[in-house]
Amino acid sequence: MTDDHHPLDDLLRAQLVAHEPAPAVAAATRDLALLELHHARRRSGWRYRLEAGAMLAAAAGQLIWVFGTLFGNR
Amino acid sequence: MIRLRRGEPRAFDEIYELLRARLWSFLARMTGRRDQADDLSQEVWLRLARTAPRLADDTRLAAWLFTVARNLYVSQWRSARVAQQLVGELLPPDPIAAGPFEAAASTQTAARVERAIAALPPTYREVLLLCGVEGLAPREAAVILGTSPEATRQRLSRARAMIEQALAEPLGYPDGESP
Repeated sequence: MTDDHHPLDDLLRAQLVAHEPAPAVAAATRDLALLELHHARRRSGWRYRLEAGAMLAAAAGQLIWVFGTLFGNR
Repeated sequence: MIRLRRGEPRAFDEIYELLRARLWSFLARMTGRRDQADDLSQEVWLRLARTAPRLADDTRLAAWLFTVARNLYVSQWRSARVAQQLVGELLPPDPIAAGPFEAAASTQTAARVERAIAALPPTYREVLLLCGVEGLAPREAAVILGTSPEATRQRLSRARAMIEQALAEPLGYPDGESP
């Protein structure tokens, strides 16, 4: 069992400074993440779901029409 | 958190500025390599962006990010270990790697601390970085590490003892030379 704070922690915090990734890497990561954030936000919106549902319904309708044309009774 | 959930870029930028260096340094010290820290760090931020709209209001972002970072590191470490076992007979064993920031350390003490941290086994290194460097309480670190608070405290105590022992040893110079 130890105390939550230890004198060694002060030494570690003083000596182990936080380093930055290379500026180009940091900028690329930020840009990618912001793009992903935009898409994630859009995916969670009702409009996106409505559009996706409409496209699925349209695709299903076309599939039924194709099967109906090929195998349907005339 | 509400602004981030709404997908506001400025909210993301604020979090990114605040935690980018801490998270990247944690990953670099865990992996011992800057390129792996770049890859894992990028994946952590992408996961935050993907998950942002579904995050709970009371999510503690720093802890969430360190949890994801640690899980990604463990997955990557396991994959690397399997790969190493497959080719292990072909390659000589790695010497103890220097820390990624050892060369950049501004003082001799800093370089020694970096080396001592890099030489710790990963289970001790991660708990020392989270509690000793990042200042998390053992119960918070326990959530990130998936262990009990008591086990975390024990690991932390052992890690501190190992670092103290490493720092207490006299400086070694190659071939017995003195500076």
